[in-house]
Amino acid sequence: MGFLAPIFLTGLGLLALPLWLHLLKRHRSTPQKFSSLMFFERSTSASVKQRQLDYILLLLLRLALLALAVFAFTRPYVLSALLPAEKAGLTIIAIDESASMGAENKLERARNGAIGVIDSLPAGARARILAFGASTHLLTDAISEKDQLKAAIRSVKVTASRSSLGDLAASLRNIGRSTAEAKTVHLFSDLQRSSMPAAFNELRLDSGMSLTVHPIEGRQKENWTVESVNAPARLLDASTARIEAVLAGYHTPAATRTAVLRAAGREVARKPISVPAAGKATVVFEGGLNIPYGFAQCEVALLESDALDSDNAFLFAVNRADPERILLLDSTSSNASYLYVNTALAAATGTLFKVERSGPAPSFTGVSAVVLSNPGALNPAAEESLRSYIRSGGGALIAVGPAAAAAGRVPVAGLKISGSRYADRSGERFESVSSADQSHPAMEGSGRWESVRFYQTFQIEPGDARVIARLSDSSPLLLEARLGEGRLLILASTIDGLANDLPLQPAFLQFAEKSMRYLSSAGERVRSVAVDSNYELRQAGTAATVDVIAPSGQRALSVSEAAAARSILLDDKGFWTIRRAGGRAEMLAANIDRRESDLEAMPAESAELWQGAAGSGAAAVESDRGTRQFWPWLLALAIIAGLAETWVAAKHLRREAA
Amino acid sequence: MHQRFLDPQILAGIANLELTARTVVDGFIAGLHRSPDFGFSQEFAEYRQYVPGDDLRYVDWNVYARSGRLYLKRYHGETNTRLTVLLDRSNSMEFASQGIRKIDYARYLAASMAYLAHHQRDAVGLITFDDDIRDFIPPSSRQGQWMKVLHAIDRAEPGHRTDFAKPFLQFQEVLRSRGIVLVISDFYADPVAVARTVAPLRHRGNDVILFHVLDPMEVAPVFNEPKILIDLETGHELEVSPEYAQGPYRRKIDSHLAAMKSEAEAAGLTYLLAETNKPLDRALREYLSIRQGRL
Repeated sequence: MGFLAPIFLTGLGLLALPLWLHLLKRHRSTPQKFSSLMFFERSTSASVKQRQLDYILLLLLRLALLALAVFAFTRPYVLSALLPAEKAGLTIIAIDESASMGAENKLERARNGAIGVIDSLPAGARARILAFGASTHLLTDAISEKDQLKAAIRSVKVTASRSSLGDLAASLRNIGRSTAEAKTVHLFSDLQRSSMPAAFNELRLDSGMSLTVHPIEGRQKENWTVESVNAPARLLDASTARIEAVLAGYHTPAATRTAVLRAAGREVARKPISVPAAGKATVVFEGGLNIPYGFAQCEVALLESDALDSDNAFLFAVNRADPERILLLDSTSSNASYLYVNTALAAATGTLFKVERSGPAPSFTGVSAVVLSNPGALNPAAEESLRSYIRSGGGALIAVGPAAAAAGRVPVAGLKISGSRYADRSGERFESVSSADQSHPAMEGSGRWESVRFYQTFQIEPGDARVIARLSDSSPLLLEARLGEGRLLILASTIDGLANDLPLQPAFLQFAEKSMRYLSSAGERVRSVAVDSNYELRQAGTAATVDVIAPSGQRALSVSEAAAARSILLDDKGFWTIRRAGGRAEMLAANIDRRESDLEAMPAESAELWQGAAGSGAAAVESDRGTRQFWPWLLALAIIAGLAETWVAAKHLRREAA
Repeated sequence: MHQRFLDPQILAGIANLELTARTVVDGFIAGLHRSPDFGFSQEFAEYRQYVPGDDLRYVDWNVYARSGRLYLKRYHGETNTRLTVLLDRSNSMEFASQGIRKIDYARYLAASMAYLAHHQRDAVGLITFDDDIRDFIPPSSRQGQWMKVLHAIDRAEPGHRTDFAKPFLQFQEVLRSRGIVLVISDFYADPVAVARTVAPLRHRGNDVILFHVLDPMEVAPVFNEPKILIDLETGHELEVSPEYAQGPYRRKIDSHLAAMKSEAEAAGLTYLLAETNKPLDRALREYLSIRQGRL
């Protein structure tokens, strides 16, 4: 920038005039309501002796008027060539950090390529680095310091994540909306076909954003992997353990591989298996899984090395335990409830649950869930003991019957029972279910209970409880209430086959199984998930701490997160341990998403089409060179400032006159 | 012409919230080119035998007259998405510097989005919150849902402090199905904490749009003289000079807005700053763009 008539700069001395005119006045503070003081700090005027400049807008306008006029007379000019960085726009470098980049040193090549792009940028040009897998991480802001940009590139490491070009495109579109300047994206990736979104349209970028793809190609595509393992999450009898593993080959010839089963740190068995060309084969390991009680870290692995070694082992966790104890409390001498519940659970789950009838003094130690069938008024000690059990994370199914209705409230939950409705079985009058939340874990798979006939139901006032199913008269049929860490499912009818025909319906099998699994929190849990899955830690915002130990052995949650986090993102491969209140623990294995195992790149024409489609708006960037004088603009701005000053001054004068 | 009807200052003169929403959305849609995406058809799918508890409105009485049996007509109607609006009604939303309060702007926005979604047969739900959930209407596309949502929006008056953590933990429980989640708030909280709190909604497959509603005076306050500012949520008082408001405060709010944007982008959330002196059409366009992407 320069001036054709710099002598006029002396006119800047005139700026002192409005400063002098705007004399300082006494400090005074007027109260005003404001939405939040989050960004404010106490500050009185810094001017001399609590005085401040009055009419700041007027002063600024006058200063601007004088300054603009003076600068217009000096006839300033700018060399466009001095602003190359501004014209170059923003360079965005996206580096793939997914698991497949660990093959054949691909990430190292990608980093070197990205550093080459940084070196080729003109001085002062701004760039931004991001790494992407299943989600995108911004490693830097838009900066021009090349050393920082290179350091960010070198910090990119291979993760266990899968790559998703659709999510990358979505993030780039978001970044594109933040500024109007032209953007050039350099993408370094192995461009796996499996990373492409379902619709090519999801790869679109905003206009003004051009894309240069730097494919990191591998020489070897043949890759074998353990695609999945079907193993019991809960092992009751080691001798009957059956573990099936599916081995898959991608672009592979027919070959024999050796599958090894390891459990709790030792090799259990190994088997050679023939895998057909680009096909799958199943290997079965039966019996002999002698692991100690508790969770055991297990894996099925391939012995032979191939293009991508990180997917050669499939991790899973097995819990060796005794059957879950279900304690049934029945206020009547009838054996019907026990018979129905026990038969349903045995039919649905085999030996997973063991139903026991309670004696006169029930003990809840070691019990997974409690069923109260037609409970009357429990004695205070037993009720408090049951409450304490539920508060610490236990669960109970309460089937309300005439005994509870006589007491006027649902025991333990404390909900009020306002009445009962009885339909005559001989007259074929009955109530049916009108609506049911089938997404609730207890109702999962049991349909809408359309064919269940309810002859006697009890009207429960829900209060804070959640209504899961309603009868045709809109009264609640199934409710869920919370007590501390525990859960209560309340059925507004009995399960002894007298007040309804629910125990005789197929839906009861599913309901009994799912509700017991839900209440015991120890049913069949997912023991292996893909990396980047979100795992639910708690069902409701309870305050009990949940500790999560990452595969690295470190705690994955801070103290505050451990008390409040609803879910956690499993972002690393390995075994995650989750410790809940009451000494309960879970272990689950996170494996690399098997879509990463297919190393085939997307077709070259698709990559070209993507580049072509993205670059359509980039041509709008102008390349202006030479000098540019802008004194007419300054003069125009000075005139505008003069007019504004006249208007503001008149406004102040009117206010003072009033 | 249509732009004029989207001006919040003009909308503030319309007392009826339903009329406001209709004015905004009908004006906005009339200004768009004709698009096949706005159509909606209920295609007949199959007959199913009636079972007790089914809605009698769907019984085909012609078939009953001919055969004496009750059958239900079923339609394909599941191509629509579901919109859940999360509306912040904390005390800080009471603020207004030039006629229209932030809560009013947020309500116009919520009502317009709900009406737009209703107009497209999308399921619409609403959650209003401050330090707890104050109103919860599960998403539905049934008859009467629009009026339920509208009444709930109309009821949303500022009353408590903001605390994102508690209500959002509950949202995650009620927002089980995938859809579009619209969070309308002034986000007076740590951007990292906001992103960390909201991100689980995104992990569940929702498209999450954050509308950051601010008054122009909050973005760029101009004081002619020192002020004693009274916090609307806490009642705390603080003496602030014009120099601070125009210097450090602006740097802090700019940095806060940049951090909100950056954290939202990193978490895969769509972030939009909505100042109360700006028209509502940008918000509507953003919603349509995201909805189109889901179909």
